Amino acid sequence: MSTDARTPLSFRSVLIANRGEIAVRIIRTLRKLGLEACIAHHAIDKNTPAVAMADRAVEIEAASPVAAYLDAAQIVRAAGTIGAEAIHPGYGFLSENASFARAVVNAGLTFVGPPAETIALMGDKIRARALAAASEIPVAPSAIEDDDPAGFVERVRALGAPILVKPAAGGGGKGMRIVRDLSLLDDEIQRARSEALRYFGDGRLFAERYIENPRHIEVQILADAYGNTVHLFERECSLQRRFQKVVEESPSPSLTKEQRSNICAAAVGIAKVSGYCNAGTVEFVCSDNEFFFLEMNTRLQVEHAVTEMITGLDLVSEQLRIASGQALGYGQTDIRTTGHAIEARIYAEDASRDFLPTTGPILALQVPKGAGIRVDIGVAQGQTITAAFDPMLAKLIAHGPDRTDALEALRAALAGFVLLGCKTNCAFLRRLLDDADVRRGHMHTGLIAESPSLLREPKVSDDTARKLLAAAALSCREVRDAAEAIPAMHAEMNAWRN
Amino acid sequence: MHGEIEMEHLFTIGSEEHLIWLARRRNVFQLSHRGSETPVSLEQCSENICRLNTGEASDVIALAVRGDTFYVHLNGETHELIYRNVISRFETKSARTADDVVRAPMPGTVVHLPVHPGDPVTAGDAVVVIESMKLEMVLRAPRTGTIKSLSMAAGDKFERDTILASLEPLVES
Repeated sequence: MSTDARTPLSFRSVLIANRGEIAVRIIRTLRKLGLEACIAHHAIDKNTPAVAMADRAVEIEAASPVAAYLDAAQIVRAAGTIGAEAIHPGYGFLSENASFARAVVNAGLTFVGPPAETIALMGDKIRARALAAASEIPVAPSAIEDDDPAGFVERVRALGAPILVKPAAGGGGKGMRIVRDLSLLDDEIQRARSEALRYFGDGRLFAERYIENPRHIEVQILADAYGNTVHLFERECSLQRRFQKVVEESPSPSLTKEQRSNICAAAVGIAKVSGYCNAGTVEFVCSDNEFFFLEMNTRLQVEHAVTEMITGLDLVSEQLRIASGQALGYGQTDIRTTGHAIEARIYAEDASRDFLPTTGPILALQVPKGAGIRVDIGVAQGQTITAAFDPMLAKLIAHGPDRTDALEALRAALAGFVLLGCKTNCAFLRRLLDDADVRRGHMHTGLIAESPSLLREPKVSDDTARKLLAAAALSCREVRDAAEAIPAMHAEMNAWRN
Repeated sequence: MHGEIEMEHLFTIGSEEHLIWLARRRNVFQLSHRGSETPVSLEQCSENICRLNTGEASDVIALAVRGDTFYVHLNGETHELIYRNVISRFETKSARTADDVVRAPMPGTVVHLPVHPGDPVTAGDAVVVIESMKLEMVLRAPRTGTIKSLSMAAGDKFERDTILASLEPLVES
């Protein structure tokens, strides 16, 4: 199904309010559609591929590089200065900022994303959850103490074990208690309350059904302004570190056919009741037999590429067409998938040091090529990786006839990804893909945290060490000079000595 | 003895230390590592790509160097090696050994040796007078003790970090 090269869009020039790999990826589609690509960038990014590729670039200034990309007013002004007619926010930064979307529209420009009201609705987690519940979309059963303090304990008991009790005013995991045995519920509530008081000075509690070993599954949605809403199936994103995804795939290896159809229908349902328009993602938390609505992301996701690989659709192109007021032009049954796609995120970080971000110059860079391999990358050789931004450098996506093939292709692609000068998580990703549970598709969001052996760097073998030392010694001035300085006779004698 | 120490080089791969030496014999470099010797060579293919030959094995590697750090991509994995000279390893072994020696702060020539092995010295006494960058410099005893050995004679040239004089180790009381 090809949706490109149809009716011209309502804008000819698009400003990208983002950086790195996603800016490069958006520029690619703008090129394909014959649109002008403009980019607003901080000076620190002047020598990045996105700025080099863009047709026009405008500098934005702020106290810090990140602050520049968050300066909505300045970016809208920059679009005006450069003559852009639409703004694509990418992901992160201002992509889910309702007042930015409103400011773009108020300036007479097109915002490539849903309307500001939808962003605001989905950004309010309590309203979004209430909307889902009212639409009979499963949300994790919960009890808010404030609703009826006297009946709280009984309402919590009615949720059924296991239950997560947490401070209503809390965050960061403090004061959270998991109750697996309901006979201990009264004690646990008391303890949670005293911890809530101690940490937050507020003893009010909130409880919800706890999911053991949860999986993170999300559904890609596309909706136009005429009420046409389709899903592009699910993505499984259960492999996470520090609550951030590292490997994503589609289809999910853990859903039955029936579960897949139910979860996709629920996602379409929430998109429809919210009057959603443009690309969005509905996230769910799943157990073996249940799934609950978590939230809706009103933007393009980092991992959208796996969906593109299996559906053949260009999601950025679809976003631009929808923002331009065009109808989808196809229905659910027109969307077919082929094979399996898996993505690995390459981060500048040291897995053996608890994923501490790393920095350094890119001395050499070589990306893998091949059938079914896609590389979305935002950095180039000669550039220095700083701590100014999120440490994600690139995404490797592999597409194969089935999951085993895709995994093998991704593994090979990771081996062929060479970035010298700044430590990356590539070796960790290969160990992760080799994990027995990952290979079997038995994943949950705690898998990485529970597998410290994945983080450790194995000792190199003597044979590998010898090769590495030979390479280093032969390219080390001091070692070569010393070798040249030893008289031939002396070297001969040393050889005999052994 | 002294010459052999100078020939050896210390690299680290992760937290592991590797002591090697490289010699050139009949135009072939020989790498000595953990008791075995291997003929080695490196041919540059393109900017950062090389062919590495170690004994019978031949690998295409990516290689980049920055200061004392060597980045090598071999068999799908990137490794970092750091070059440290042999002396720095001995420094980290014991805090006290640093006080037992007088090291050359820069390359130069020995001008004069005011002490002899067996001489008692007080902390701060002149032990070696050197000339470096056309300046004369007095190297002094790091602590009170007895001179154990002097590695150079007047007129000898040395590299930075060379041990020029050693003191008898302190005896635990």
